[in-house]
Amino acid sequence: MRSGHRAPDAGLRRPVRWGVAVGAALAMFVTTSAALAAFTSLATGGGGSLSTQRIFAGTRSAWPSDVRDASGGGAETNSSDVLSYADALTVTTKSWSSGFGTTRFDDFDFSGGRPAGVAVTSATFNFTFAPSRTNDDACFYIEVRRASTNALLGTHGSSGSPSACSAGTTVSATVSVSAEVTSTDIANDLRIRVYANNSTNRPLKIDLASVTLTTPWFATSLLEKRWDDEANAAAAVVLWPFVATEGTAYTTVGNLATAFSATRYVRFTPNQVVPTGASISSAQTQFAYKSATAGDTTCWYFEVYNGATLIGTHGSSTTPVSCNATSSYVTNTVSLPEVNSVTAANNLVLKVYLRNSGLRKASVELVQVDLTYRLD
Amino acid sequence: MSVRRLASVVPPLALSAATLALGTAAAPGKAPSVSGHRALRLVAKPGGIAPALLLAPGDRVQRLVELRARGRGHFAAVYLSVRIRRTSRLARDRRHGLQVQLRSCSRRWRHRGRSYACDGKIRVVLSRRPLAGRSRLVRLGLVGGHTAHLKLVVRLPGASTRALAGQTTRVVYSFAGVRAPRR
Repeated sequence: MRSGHRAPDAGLRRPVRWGVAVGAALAMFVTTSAALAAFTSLATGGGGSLSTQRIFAGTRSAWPSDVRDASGGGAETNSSDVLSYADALTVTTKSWSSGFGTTRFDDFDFSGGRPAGVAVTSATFNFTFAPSRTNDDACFYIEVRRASTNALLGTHGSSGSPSACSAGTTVSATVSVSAEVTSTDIANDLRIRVYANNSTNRPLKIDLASVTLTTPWFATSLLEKRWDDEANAAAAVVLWPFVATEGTAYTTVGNLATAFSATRYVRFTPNQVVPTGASISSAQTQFAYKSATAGDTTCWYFEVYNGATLIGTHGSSTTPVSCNATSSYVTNTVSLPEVNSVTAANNLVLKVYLRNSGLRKASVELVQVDLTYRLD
Repeated sequence: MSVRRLASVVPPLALSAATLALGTAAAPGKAPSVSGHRALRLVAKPGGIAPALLLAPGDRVQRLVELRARGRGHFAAVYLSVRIRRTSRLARDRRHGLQVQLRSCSRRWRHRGRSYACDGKIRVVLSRRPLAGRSRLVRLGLVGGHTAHLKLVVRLPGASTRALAGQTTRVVYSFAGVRAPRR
């Protein structure tokens, strides 16, 4: 049986043991190091830097939010996405409640197409809005989410402390979302959820819902491609056409003619951003279309502009790019070798001429520009 | 001091003594074997490697190194050591980041186009591995008075993610030779 009694100098024994062990280890280290040093020869080959391209080569797509329609042969109609530009053109939401509600929100999903893996320096949500009546009050706050998963990344403002309020006038609010949008991987898959209220349970008018991004290599705006208005707690999704071949199409404003005409066209300006100094290796456009009315045949050709300067024509009034006599969308992919500079890419405008055998409208499902580039 | 207390201190003391004895025996009696004219030593040329910039996934960078053994004797082992002076994902990401490989040629490497060719026998003395770290070279057989003609190949894997874009790493590489004991 072991006694609980300890010798008077028991507390001294352990430090002595430790001291000896540490001394032994130190002696071992010193002598072994000396031995190894004597047997080793070291040759320094030197140093050097290794670095990667700022943006690796890859294909990035852009879609038009700016659309000008002269299909009827008269003046251009501004058919641009109302939510993407601060131009006093507004959309009206459904009716909100006077109090915030977790089921009352508007979701805005943004088109990506920015080079992946780039760090974001700053990201700002721009929201220009007003209550539908000038004598009403309205406020909002936001959540930042992933569009693909709806995963919540962060919240800015709250029902008790909104991001911004309007007392009847139009308010251009900005909310920094830099804490969540830290890379273009997130920017390319971004959803902003806006919770709002209205003092008299009425709608809001929204002029702009966009995100501006700054990276070390470029600055750009993300424009919405999907708007889900759940102000009244019921889903109502509005898809911006041209972005995908999912069935949502744009129908020309006017009726077309049976022959091509220089005055009957639709102009598309893709929301493109290619960093300064980038090398473009290829460019192409994808265009999906059909007649708005079954039985008609629609044909098309197009011109490519760098701003206001014509830099290329694909097809002609006598030899269109293609004709579609079916009731299904046909997608044409056309190479754009003339888009070989950053300036041309960032100022790219496609002017599409259309004709229709039935003197009726055409439907356009997809207008996509794919650019392959790298930034050294 | 009791017998038990004395006994508890004896094993560590014995360990110390043994270690000291071993270490002293292993160390050579005179330092001049390191710095003397005939002492076996390694010399690597050039003293610096040209920077490799703007790498893209799949790129390979080749740099030649002449590793000379001066003096008499031979090396029991030679190590390549790559130290990171400025780190980045290129060095930290051991799967997708930079990788190094070392090949030797029995004759001098010859410049051929954008690459180097060997007119003799090629040996892989260091198989591909992450850039940073220390590795023993195999099948080098470096003896005094001879030179190993090495080609350092740094590669960015083709599967590198875009997160590796815009990264810079500074490295210092060195060779360490362990002399074989004289007979």
